[in-house]
Amino acid sequence: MGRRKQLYTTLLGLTHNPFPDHAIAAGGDRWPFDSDLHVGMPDRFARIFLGPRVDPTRKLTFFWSLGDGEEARGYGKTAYLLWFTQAICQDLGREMLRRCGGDPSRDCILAAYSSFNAVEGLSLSNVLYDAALDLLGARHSIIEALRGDKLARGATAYELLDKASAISWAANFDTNSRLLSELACRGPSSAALYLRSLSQWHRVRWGSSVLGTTVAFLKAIGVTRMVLVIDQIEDFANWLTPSYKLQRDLPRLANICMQDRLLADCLQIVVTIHPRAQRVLDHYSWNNLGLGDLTHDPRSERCIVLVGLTPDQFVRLTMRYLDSARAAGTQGGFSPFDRQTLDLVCTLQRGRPGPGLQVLHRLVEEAIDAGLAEITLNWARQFLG
Amino acid sequence: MARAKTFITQEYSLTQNPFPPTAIVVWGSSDDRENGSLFCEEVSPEKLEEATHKFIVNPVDSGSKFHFLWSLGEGEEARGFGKTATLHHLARRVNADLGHRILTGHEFPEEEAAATPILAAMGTFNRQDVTTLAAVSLEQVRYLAQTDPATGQTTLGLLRQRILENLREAGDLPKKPGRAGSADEVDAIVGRIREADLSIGGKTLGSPDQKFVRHFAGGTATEVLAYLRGASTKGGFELLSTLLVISRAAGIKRTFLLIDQVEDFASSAVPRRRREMEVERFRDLAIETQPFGEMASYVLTMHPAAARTIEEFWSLARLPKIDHLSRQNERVTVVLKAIDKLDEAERLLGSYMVRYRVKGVTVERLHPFDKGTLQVLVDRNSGRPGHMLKMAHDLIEEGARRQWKVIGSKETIDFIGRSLEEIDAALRTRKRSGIGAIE
Amino acid sequence: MEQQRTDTIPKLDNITYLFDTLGGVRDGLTFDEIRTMLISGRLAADREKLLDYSPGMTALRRLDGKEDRTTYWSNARDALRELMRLGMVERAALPSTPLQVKVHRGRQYALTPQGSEFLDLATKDPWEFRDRFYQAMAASHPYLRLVRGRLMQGDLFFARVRKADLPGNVEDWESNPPQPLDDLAKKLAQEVESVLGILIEPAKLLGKLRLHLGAAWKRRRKPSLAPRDYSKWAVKTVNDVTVRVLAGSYGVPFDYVTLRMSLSILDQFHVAWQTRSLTDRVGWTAWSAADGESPDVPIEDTSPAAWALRGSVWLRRRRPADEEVRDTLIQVFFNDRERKSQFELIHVLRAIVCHRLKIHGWVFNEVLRKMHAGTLRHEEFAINLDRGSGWELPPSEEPFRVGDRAFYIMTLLRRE
Repeated sequence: MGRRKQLYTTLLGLTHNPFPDHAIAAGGDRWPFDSDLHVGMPDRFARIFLGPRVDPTRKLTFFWSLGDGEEARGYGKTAYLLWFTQAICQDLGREMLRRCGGDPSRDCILAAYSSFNAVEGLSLSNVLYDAALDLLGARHSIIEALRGDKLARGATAYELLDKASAISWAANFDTNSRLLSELACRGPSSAALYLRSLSQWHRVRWGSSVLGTTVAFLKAIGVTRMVLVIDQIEDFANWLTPSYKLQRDLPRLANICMQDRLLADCLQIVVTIHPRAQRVLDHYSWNNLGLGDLTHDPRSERCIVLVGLTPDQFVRLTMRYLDSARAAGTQGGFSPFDRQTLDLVCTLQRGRPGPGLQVLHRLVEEAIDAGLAEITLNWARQFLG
Repeated sequence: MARAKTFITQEYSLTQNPFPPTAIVVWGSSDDRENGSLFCEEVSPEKLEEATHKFIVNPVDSGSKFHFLWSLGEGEEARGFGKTATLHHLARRVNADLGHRILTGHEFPEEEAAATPILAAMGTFNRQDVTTLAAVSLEQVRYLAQTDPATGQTTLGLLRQRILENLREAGDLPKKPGRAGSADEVDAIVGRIREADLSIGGKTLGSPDQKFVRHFAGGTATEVLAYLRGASTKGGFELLSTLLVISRAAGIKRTFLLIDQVEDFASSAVPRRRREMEVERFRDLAIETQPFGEMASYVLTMHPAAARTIEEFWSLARLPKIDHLSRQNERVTVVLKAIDKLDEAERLLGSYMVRYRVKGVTVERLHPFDKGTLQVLVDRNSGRPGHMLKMAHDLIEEGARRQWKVIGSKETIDFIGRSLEEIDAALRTRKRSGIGAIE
Repeated sequence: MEQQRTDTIPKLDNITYLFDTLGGVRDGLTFDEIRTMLISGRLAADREKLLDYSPGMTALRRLDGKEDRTTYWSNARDALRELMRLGMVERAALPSTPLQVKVHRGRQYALTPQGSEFLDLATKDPWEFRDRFYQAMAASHPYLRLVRGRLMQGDLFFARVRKADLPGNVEDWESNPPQPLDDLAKKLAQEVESVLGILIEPAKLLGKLRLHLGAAWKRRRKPSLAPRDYSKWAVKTVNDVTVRVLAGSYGVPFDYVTLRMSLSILDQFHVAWQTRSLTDRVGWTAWSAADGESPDVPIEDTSPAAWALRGSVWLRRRRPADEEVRDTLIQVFFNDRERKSQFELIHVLRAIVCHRLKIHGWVFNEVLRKMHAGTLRHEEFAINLDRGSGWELPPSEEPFRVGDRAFYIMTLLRRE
């Protein structure tokens, strides 16, 4: 058998297998994404998760995925949220504000993506810490541009430091002075390095202090709103998490959203939510926290429910992936697949893009092993059982 | 009575009992019978090639992340097939030259193989102290700090050399090597590792472990090993993350993390809660945390009982199916088979005996065993290489004790001490009939 | 009510032991081979259910890796004895103690013509096989007929006693049962009245509680248990005695084990169902899930198997239309005001729906599978099942399964 890498090209007209081997998106991924795959989704994101202004009744909004049959994962929530975060940061929220009738001249918005993660320990503090790292790391260039703009207009680094300090004092908030110094005097990249150097001990304790300090600085350089995206809450809100953590962190989350004088006026939080998380949160009296119902009613203005793709949508998604790996001079469209194969995969996976793309990865690998130049329905059926 | 070793030398023409006393590979042991250096590629060459292709070569091109090495059977019947020995052998082959020979032997052009160095690290669960993913991660790091008895080098040492070569090529160090472990060298290596760390996007576990980095950069293998041996399992993830950053600094494109004895973790004696939690951690680490997500591929040993106890959590965590029967998994699955031919058994035992044969003596290759012994060894151990080797060890010891000049089938059956029918009957338990089933 | 004879309900975990043993006899298996077959069947069933080593003793823990040559001997003996009693296997000697097992190890058995006929029936129609098998057991066991007869008059309910319901503390219970029990007796009477509408005099309950608890405490061998384990034993003993006492009030004068075995057999034949998951009460409820009674009484000199094979099947398992079950599920999902979460536990919904319709849980499972597969559609709502929240499933309940996957919670989605 020839070298695999060459066979992708000689047999299938691809430079590599463009599909992911697994059904899970993560920060740092570089997979193709199409925000318009679900019609109107960017507008709905803008309206429900952002809104023209900070709405106190919708500080916390929910992103569900549920389909007919089973499962609540693999629908593409993480991919959408990563896109949303990036879409806001790339132009300080202008396009999103325009979509929902907000005033881009009035607001300057940033977003951060963070996720509960079982490796480091599950706590709100870790999530807030990671959110700060996301802002200062992945979004450092936009923050650097804002800081640079202030400095170019005559402000000094110490003035920025003083302004951020004043904002914190007014909110009765104790900043992390080292972090604030780094931000003001050296910039976000240096601040990110500092945060990365700290150990898990700090992450478990300093999350809200680190995020608060970052927000104070962002306010000082002109940011007026922040969107915090929190993914994988089901890793935290489950029956394995010690109850003291849930009893401690859920009220803290409510406090950040509703009462914290530094964060509550500018922060909105989008949370992905999952069936088992809902049961756990209900058990811990979520309804008493003042953060609203854990509804999955798609008619609600507090949540978006992502459903499975139609066959046409799945084909469109597949074509994006294929286009990212076309070898020069080869056929486009959905080749090497035939349409019926893609329809079959979409149906078997009930329209869930994650597992669907994973199956396509395997079909490509199997086709290579079998020496096929086309992946047809008859052949795919045998393989998929 | 003569000393057993004397008898073995005089009558069996062996310098010592050539077979391992247990069916377990112990990497880092000075005993060649145990440390995997006597692995015989000729026993099952097609399986070894299948494993090399599916677990090492393919993932370099396809990016596949999860792979499974199976043995079938229930309980004890699934042990002793050579999973550990196979994985260990693969790891040693990869690490010997960072995968160069494997890749060029599988149609990678020279240049591309040189530009695609790979690495393999192995960690083994047990029931005492390596019971969590963090502990296995630490074992994987320690694995690379052990000296390979065949080469006298550690893999970490190879990585360090590679970083130095790259630094010299880039002009960051003088082309002529200075004093080994000099401050300039150490600083340059640390600097390169820092750059590699900063180039990683997405969620990470924080900065590399600075002590590990300093010991590594300093180049003294014993210091590195001592540091790692003293490390707590709680720091396992951070140390493995640091290792991956170091590998990245050395230009490693893919690191294969081999996890053995998953059945010890997946045993139903391990509380369900822990199993669920560790599988979730595994998912978060392998996919959502960098640089693991980008750089790591995994090979896990598996057998039916282990699969059953973690399948539920595995699929809840949306990890790919484990099922060895599914066609969709064929590409990432290797099922080890029992030895069923006598010549395979001969090659297996022969590879150990030739190593310890007294020089200058001419005897039959398998002396003191004969072909009848081989047949009994295969039958009584269901062809499982690990168990066959252990039984061979016990036979040599028994033969020396009872002064058997030859160990034939009669002696072997006598040693085993049970009738053929009893054993066969025990193996023939009837399964449920399904009469009256409605589901 | 027919005159009560004494009876011995076979203490088998699963009626499949009887079916498999019948097949084993047909295939000429020896006593020992039947024994090992039952072990492997139990291990396989436990593995399928993903049972863990804790809580409680499962076969997996007892048997895995610890097999000696008498393990499960009594299950093999009891299965054979029952089949002989039913007239499906020719009578032969069986071991009565573990020491006798080695003598019987190699013994084989013979089917009667009725045993062969049952096996033929099993290959043609497993439902009829099971129904007639039940009919044979009912003919042979007056206790089974008694329990079923009582269920056909109305539900049985056994309130659960919690530690907090017991007077005193663990130290007080070391030598004597918890006392005084007046409040407990009152509480039990109130709960029975509230749930079943049956009036029981607390004084009568009190007398029986004292009697049976006293006997249980006397019988107790006194190993040194840690207070926590002792507390568990005490609470369990009170619950077992409560069941016995209440059962007696319902006209079913059995001890806890006999009652539990009887209900288990009725449950497995889908003649009755039982649950501890109804939300309007705390305790164990059982109800009849089948109609039909034997048109005549068993004849003395006819074996139960022969009698059961005559004529048509009189047992009628309740099986409403799928749509009725579906609609009841949807109604129950939306109507329960206690529920806050929008994802509900499947086993709780199942208990409520089955209780309302007086059907067996198997019927509910079948309907839910069809809804999941899309072959039974509701115009307005689709279902979404999830595999999370397995931790909320009590040991007394089976998970809902589709293939080899277990689902624990569900919601209804409005169709667009």
